Amino acid sequence: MRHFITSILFITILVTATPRLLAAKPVLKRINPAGGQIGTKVVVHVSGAGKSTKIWCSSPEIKITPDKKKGYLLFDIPEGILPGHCWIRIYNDEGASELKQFQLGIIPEIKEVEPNNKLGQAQKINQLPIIVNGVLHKGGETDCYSFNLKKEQTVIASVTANESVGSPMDTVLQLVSSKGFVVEQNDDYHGFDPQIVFTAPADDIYSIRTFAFPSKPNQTIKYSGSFDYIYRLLLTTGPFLDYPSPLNINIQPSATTSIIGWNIPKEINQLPVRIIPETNLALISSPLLANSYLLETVKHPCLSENTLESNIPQSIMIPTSVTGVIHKAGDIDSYQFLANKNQNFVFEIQSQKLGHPLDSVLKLKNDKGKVLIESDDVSPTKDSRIIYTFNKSGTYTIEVSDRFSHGGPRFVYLLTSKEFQPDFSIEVASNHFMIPNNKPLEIPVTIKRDQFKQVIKINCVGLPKEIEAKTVSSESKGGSSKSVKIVLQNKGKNTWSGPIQIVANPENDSQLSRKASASITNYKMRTKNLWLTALKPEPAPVKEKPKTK
Amino acid sequence: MKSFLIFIFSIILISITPCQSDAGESQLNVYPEKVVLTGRFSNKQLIVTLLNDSKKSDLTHTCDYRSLDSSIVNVSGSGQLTPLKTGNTFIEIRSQKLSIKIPVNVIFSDGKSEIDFKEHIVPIFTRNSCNSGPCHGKARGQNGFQLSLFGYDHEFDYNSVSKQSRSRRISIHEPEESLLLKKAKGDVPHGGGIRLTKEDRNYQLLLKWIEEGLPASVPDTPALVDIVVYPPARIMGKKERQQVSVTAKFSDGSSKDVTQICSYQSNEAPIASVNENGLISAGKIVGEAAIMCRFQGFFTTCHVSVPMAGKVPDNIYANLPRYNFIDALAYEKMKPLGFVPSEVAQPYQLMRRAYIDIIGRIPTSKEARDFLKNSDPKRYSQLIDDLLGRPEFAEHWATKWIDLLRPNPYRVGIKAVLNYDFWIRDSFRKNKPYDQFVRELITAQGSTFKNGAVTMYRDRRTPEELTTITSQLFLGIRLECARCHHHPFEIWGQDDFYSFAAFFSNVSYKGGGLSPPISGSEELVYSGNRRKILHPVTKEVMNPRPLFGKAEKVEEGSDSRQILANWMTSPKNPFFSQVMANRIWADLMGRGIVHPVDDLRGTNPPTNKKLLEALGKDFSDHKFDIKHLIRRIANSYVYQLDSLPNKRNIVDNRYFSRYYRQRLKAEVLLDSISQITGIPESFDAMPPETRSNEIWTHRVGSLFLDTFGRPDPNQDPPCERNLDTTVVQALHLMNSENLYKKITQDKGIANQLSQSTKSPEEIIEDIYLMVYSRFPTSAEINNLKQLFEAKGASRKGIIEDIFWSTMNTPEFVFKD
Repeated sequence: MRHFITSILFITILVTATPRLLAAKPVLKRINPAGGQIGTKVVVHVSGAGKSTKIWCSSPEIKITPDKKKGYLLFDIPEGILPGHCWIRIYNDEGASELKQFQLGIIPEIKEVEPNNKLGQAQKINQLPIIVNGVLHKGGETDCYSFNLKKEQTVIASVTANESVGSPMDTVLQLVSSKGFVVEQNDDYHGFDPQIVFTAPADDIYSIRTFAFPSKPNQTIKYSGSFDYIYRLLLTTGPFLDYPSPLNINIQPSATTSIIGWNIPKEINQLPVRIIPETNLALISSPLLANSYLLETVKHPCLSENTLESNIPQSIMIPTSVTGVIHKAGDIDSYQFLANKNQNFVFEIQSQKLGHPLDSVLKLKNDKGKVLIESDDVSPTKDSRIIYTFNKSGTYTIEVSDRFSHGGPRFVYLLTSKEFQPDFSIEVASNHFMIPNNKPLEIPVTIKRDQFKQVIKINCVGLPKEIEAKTVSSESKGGSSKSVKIVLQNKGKNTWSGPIQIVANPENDSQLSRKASASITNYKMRTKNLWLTALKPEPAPVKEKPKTK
Repeated sequence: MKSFLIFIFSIILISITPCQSDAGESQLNVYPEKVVLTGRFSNKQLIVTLLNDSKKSDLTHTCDYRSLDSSIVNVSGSGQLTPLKTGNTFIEIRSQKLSIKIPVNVIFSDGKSEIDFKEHIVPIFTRNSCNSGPCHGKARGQNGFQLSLFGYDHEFDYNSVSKQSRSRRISIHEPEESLLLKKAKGDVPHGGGIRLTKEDRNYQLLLKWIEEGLPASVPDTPALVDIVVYPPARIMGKKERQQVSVTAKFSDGSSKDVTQICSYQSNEAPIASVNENGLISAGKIVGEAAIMCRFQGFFTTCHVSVPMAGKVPDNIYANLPRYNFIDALAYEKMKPLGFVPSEVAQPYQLMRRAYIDIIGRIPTSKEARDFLKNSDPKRYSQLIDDLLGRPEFAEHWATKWIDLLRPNPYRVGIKAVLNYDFWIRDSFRKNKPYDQFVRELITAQGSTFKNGAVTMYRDRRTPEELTTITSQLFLGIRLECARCHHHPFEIWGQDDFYSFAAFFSNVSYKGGGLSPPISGSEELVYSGNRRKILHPVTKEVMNPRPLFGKAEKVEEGSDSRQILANWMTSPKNPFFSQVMANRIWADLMGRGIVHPVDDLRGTNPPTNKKLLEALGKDFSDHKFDIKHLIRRIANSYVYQLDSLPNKRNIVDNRYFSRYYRQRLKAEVLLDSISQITGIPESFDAMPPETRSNEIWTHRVGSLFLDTFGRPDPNQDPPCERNLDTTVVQALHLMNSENLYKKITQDKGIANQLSQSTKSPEEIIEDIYLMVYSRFPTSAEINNLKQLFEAKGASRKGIIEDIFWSTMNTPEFVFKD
C-alpha cells in the first residue's frame, strides 16, 4: 500500500511538473529564407517557432502570422520600410532565444532549386538583378547558378551569409565559364562573405559556384554544410553601390552624396540621402540600385580627399571628417591642421569597420616631420585611433597609410578629427536574461570609460511595474568605475517576457545617455535590444507540522 | 761563373725555342714550360701532351723522365717534381723518338719556417678526408676529435688539434709520437684506417710542423685567391687518360702546385672518373663530365668530352633545320660529341606532345582528327598558339608551381592554403610575367585570409628557412649546406648564407600564429623593425647582401625584401632567368639543361651552357613571359624530334639529339582517362566533375594520383615530381576498379559507341584517336575488327576491352 501511494504521489508530481519541464526556452537556429523583398510577402521557416512560442521583430511594421504551410510563418514586408535588416527573436514563458537577422532587400528574390550541385545542373537565372536564397544543406555540397553575360558586361555576385545572416559558414565563390574553367574566385570580401566583380571578355554563359568551410575552422579539408548554412546570393549586372563618398554626411535637409560602385550610370552617381529620425544614420537608396547603404550623420563638415595635388598635405580644420583613398601601393595621405597648446584631439580611422581592406596606420607629426605618436590596430578591428594633447601650438600633420603598403580603389577610409570628449560605453554579457523563480537576477554591467570621470547612473528601462530594478551608481574610481550589478526582482505573480534596455546617464549630464550593448551569437556586431523573461514566482512550499506523540 | 753563364745561355736558348719537340708531324708539349720550386715542401706536376695531327694525347704517365741533376730536383715516373736543394737544372722528357727539356729552378729559404697551418696543414686534412662529413668533419666530430667541415674554419681546427683535450694529440718533445701522426699511420687503432705513410710528403710536412712548434701562421702569408686547372678542357677518347695539374694563386702574385693535395670529384663518373691524384680516366660512355678540383674552399673545373667514335661529315649538321636559335646551339653541342639528331616526329606525335606539355591533357578525338586532316603547313605553329591561349594552360602550369610552393594545410591552415592556391592559379590565368610573380611573392604583405602569397611566410617563418626556399626556387642556388658550414661543392659559405638571410630580417607577424593540426587563425605579415642576423661562428651582425653582384642600399626603415626582389628579378641576374628557363625546358624536353633543374653551380655545369644562357636572355628580353618561352621551345626543331634513336644518338640522354620519352604525370594521366571514358573523376574537397589539375591540396585523397607520383602531402615544399615508372603503376592501371567503372559506366563513351550505329572500323578509329591521337593502321583495324566478327561477340564488351587494353599500353602512358 505504501508503495502504491508513493507511486501515485510521484506520478502526480511528475505530471504537474512536466509542462514546465517540457516547455523549455526556445532556440532560434535559423531563418530560411534569411530575407525578403520589401513590398512582398514571404513564407519563412523560423526554426524553434511553434504554437507555444511568440515572435518579436525589431521592425514593428512587419506583420508576422502563421502561414497555411504547417510550421511556417508569413512575413508581410510593407512598402516604405527601411531596407537593410531587422532582428527576430522568439520567446515563451520559459525564456527567449538568441537574435537572428532578417534581411530586407530591394530587388526580387527567389529560392534555390535543387539539385544544382554540378555545373550541368546549375539553376538558370533568367533575370537580373536577383537575390537567391539558398542553403548548403550537407557536407560536400556545392550550389551552382548560371546566367548569360554579354561581352564587357560587368556582373557583381555578392554573398551574405556569415556577416549578416549569422550562418556558421565561411563561403567561397567561384565564377566559372561555360567550359568549366574558374575565371574568378573570392573567399573573404566582407568578413567571411565573398564577392566577385567580373567583366566578361566575350559573350558566354557563366556559372556562379558556391561552397563553404565552417566559420570556426576544423581539421577537415572537405566542404562543409548543414541546414544552418543559409546564404543570400545577390547577382546583378546593374548598378551596385560599393560605398558613398564621403563615407559620412553632415546633417542637412537636402544632403546628397556621390556613390561609388559598379555599373553606376551618370544619372545616379549623385543621390540624396534620407535622414532616419531618432538615429544618427542616413539611408542611400535608389530603385535603380541593387543595394542600399546606411551612413553615419554628423554635425561637423564632411570632406573628400583632394586628389589633385597628391604631393601636398591637404589642409583641414578640426572638427572634420575626410573620406580618402589609398589609391596605390605605398601611398601616404597627409592632412595638415592647426592645433593650439593644450588642445586634446582625437583622430580616428574607420575602414575595416566599414568593410574596406585598408589596414590603417595613423601617424601624427609635428612641423619638423617628427613622429609624435603612431597607431596601428585598435581592437577589435584593424582601424586606428590617436588621442593627443598638444603641448605646443603650431601646424601638425596627420598621415594615413596602409600597414602593408597596399593600395587600390577600395582602400577607402574615413578619417574623423575632432576635439576629444571623454565618453563611456556600457556592456552586458548577454542579450537575453531570465529572472528565476523566487530569486533576484543580478546583471553585471561593464563600464568602459574613455577618460570619463563622472559618476554614472545605470538603470533598466522598459520593465513592467511588477519588476523592480534599483538604479546603481558607477563611481569614477574604485571597482564600481568598471563594473556594477543591476538587480532585478519579480514582485508580481505572473510571468513576464519582453524587450528591455539598460541605460546609463552621467549624474551631471542627462543628455549624454548610453545604452548597454551585448554580443549576439554568430555575429560580430552587438545589439542594444535586450530581452528579459521573468518567471512566475512559485508559492512557498507548505511546511509539514511536526508529529506529536 | 762559367757554369752559371752556360746555364743562362741554355735558359735563353730554351726560352726562345718552343717547349716542344717535333718528330715529323708529331710534337711533345710540356706544361709548364719552366718550373720554379720555392720551399722544400713545394712540388710540381708536369703535364706532357703529344700533338699529332691536331689530336692530343696525354703522355704524362707513359713517358720517361730524367732529372739532369737529381741532387737538386727529383722527378717521379708520373711527372711529379720534388725539390731537394737550392739550384738550377733541367728535366728531360722522352717518348719514343721525341724528347724535350724544361728548366727547373729550386729556391730554399734557410731558417725561416715555411709552414702555415691554414695553407699547408688544413689541406692535408681535406686531402685525406679527415675533415669530411662521415669523419671528424661532422657536427659532433668523431671519437672526441672535431674538425671544421672541409676546413672552412682553420682557427677552430688549430685549437682542436693543438689545444683541445689538454693538447693530447701533439707531442712537442717527441713529435713522431704525436697521436695525430700515429693515428694517421695506423700505429694505433684508427677508425679511419691508414691515411698516411712515413714516406708521404704530407706526413713529413705534418711532422715538420710539429717539430717547428705548431706555428699557427707564417707572417705575411699571402691569401689564396684562386685555383686554376690545366688543361681546363679536353676531348678524350674512350678509355683514354688525362692527368691534371692544379695551381693555387695567391694575393702576392705567387703560385703553388696543389695537385697532390687537391680533392677531385667527377659529376659523371661513368663518362669520366678521376682518382685522388687528379688522373682522369674516360669510360666507355659518350658524353661530358665536369671534373671538380677543390682546394681550401676554391673550385675549378676541367671539362671533359668523350665523343662518339667515327666522324660525322660537316654537311650533316649544316643541312639540319634551324627554326630558331635553339636548334643552332643544340647542334653546336651535338657536333663535337658526334651525335646526329633523330628524324622529326610524326604529326600526330607532335600534336599529342604539344597538348600534353602545354595544357596537360591529350587531344580529344575531334581535336586530333581536325589537326591531322588540316593540310595547312603552319598547322603546328598555329596549334601552339591556340593551346597557349586556352584556359587549361593556367591550371596545368599552376600545378607545377603549386608543387613547389604549397605547404601542408594541417600546418598553416586550410584557408591559407586555399588562398595560396588561388593566388598561384590566378597568376597563371592572367599570364602574369614571371618576374612580377616572384616579386609579389618575395615582397608579400597582408593577411593570410586575403593575400595568398603571404602564406609562404606563414609556412617559412625564419630568415634561414626563407633563404633556402627562395634561393633554390628562384636562383637555382642550393644554400642549405652553407647554413652550417662552407658549401662542399660550391663557393657559398656562411657569410653568404646569413647575409642573404638578412634580407628577411624585417619580416614581422601579428595575429594568430601556427597551431597545427588546425592553424585556423588569420595571420598578418608585414615589414617591421629589422632584427639582427648574427653569423653563428663570429657573432658578427650580418647586413643584407646579395650572393653576387650589387644591390641597392637598404635604407633604414625600408623593406629590405624590395631590394632583394629588385636584385633577384633583374634582367642582369642570369641565375633568375636561367633557372626558370631550365625548368620550362625540362618540362617540355624531358630533362633540364642543368639537372637537377634548380641546382645551378660551377660543379654541376649545364650540358649546353650557351643554350641555357640564350634561353635565359630570350626569356628576360621578352619580359619574362612564360608563354613566349614555351612557344619558342615548342617551335624549335629539336623539340619536334622523334624519340626513336639512331645509331649515332642511341646513347644520348642529355644533349637533346632525340626526344626523351616521359611517363605522363599523374594529373595528366587521370584527366586524360576521364576525358577518354567520358566519366569525370570525383574528389573530396572539390566541386563535382573537377579536373585533377585543379586540386588545391595534395591532401585531397586519390589513390591514382598517389600511385603515379603525386608528392607526399606531408612533404615540405618544394616538391619535385617523381616520374619513375613502377610495377605498382602498371598493376594499378590493369586492375583499378575505378578505371573499370569509368570504362563500363552506362553514361560513358564506351557505351555510347556501342549504342551508336557506327561500324567497327569507325569505332576503332574513334578509340585510336581518343587514346593515341592517331588513326589506326590497316593492320590494327583488321586485327581488332575480327573481334567484332567473332561468334557471340558482345559489341559493348569488345569496345570496353579495346579501351582498357589501349589505355594499358606505353603508347598511351608515355609522352612520345
